[in-house]
Amino acid sequence: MGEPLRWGWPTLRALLISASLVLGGIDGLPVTRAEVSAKLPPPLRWARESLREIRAAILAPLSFVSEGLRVQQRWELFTSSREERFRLWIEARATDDEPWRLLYRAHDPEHALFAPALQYRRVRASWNPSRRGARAGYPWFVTWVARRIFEGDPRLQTVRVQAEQIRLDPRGPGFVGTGTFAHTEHRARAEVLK
Amino acid sequence: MIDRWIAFWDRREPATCLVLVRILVGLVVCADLLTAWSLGLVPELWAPPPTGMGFGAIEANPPAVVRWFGATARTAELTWLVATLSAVMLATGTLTRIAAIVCALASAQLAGLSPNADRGIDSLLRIVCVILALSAAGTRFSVDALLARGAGRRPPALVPAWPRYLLFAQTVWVYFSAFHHRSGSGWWPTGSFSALAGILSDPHYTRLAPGLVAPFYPLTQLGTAGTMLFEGSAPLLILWTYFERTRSEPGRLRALANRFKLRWLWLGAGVLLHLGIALTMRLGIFPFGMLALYPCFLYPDEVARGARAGKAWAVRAVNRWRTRAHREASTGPGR
Repeated sequence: MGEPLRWGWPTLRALLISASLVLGGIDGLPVTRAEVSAKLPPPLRWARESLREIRAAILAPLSFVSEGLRVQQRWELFTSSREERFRLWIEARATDDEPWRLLYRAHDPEHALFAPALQYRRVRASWNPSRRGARAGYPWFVTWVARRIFEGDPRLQTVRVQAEQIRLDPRGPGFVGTGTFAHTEHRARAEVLK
Repeated sequence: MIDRWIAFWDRREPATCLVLVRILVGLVVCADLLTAWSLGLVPELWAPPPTGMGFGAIEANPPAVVRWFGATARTAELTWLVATLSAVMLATGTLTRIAAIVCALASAQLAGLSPNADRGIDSLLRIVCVILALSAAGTRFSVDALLARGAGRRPPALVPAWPRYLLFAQTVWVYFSAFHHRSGSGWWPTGSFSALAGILSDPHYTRLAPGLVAPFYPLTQLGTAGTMLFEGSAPLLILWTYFERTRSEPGRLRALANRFKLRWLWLGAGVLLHLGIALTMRLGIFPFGMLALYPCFLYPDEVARGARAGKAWAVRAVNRWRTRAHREASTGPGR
């Protein structure tokens, strides 16, 4: 038999730190995404669901911390490496008869209206589509950028924001446009500047 | 075993590394928020729609600031101001513990106002702020230390080391978690390690001109493999650090790790990785936010040694420059 544990601040602190490490580890356990899980065989799908439920039950009493501070321990940085990506286009025109005028296109120095603001990481996160589609705040981003454009040029009446589907080609020109567009949104001056 | 574990978390050391993390994290957060302001994005980034992009304010469960002050642009402005001021206070060590907590909470409120605008690095720096709030990071190079000295109190020579250990563990976990979440085949041999080339060709992220990656494609494959090796081996940093601090003890693996300076190789690779990201990709504060945490990987005596070496080098450089200037002046055309 070893010496009995002496209770005091160092012991309590070590206990609290150990608990935070264990709980952080549980929170950080990699659990496959729902869309991946749907393709798994039933036993694995069941295991995934059970793991998620157990984790949620363990972490539930401390959810006020993770929700209050908006933190978690799953760090997903550039997880995907798909070749199909997007390129943002922002266009505007004064009348319906006119062709669209390109104001901004990602990574195009000749069409770079508001480029510093649009490329700022927090703004980009509103318009850069993920593999799950457009971001939740994308419509509000479109309204915001349309307002900036309308305020800057009183002749313009309509703004169009969309994402061109591109194919990455790092061994060649870098990327190739497909001419197909997604997430197309229009804003009219009257609608934005009420 | 349990006694050793308790004693480990009870260790003390000079506050140097924690102070460095505090200053750097405060500066990074402050620089990011001031960038938003300089781009004319305050309050639009966090203001409720249709004025801004802060759609979190109109959701079913809005953040506390909206419940207290309403879903207005003024609320967004106020939250940004509190976050920025608290980041300045954190960097300068003014009411350090309170500043760190307020910085974390204000950043969380900004995240609630505009969920898309909150990235992984923001979440990580909030955790760091909480750990700093529990530490003695404000006891040196700070307004708090100046005030304490004015009141006749000397800063403690040694402070609890556990917050640094916790920051160490957190940063290691970030890398390892990023590693095991990498599901895209481009990160693995099956996808020919093409991920980095892909990111460097993505017009939404790259700083490089289109087509510039092609001649360096094999180098990017090496970079992808290196990134995976670096992140996947992050937990080993704990072992390499332990081996280096116990270098006099026996063991073949310990001797090998120390002989090949694996700890310093890993740290150097991390610095290069983040500097490379900063130079070639538009990822905002991410590389700087990560590098701001690197002092937690060092021991205070190593920082002190590095500072002494840096100072000696600077003195030598100034002396050399003075000697040369003096020589040029004495042999110049006027003589």
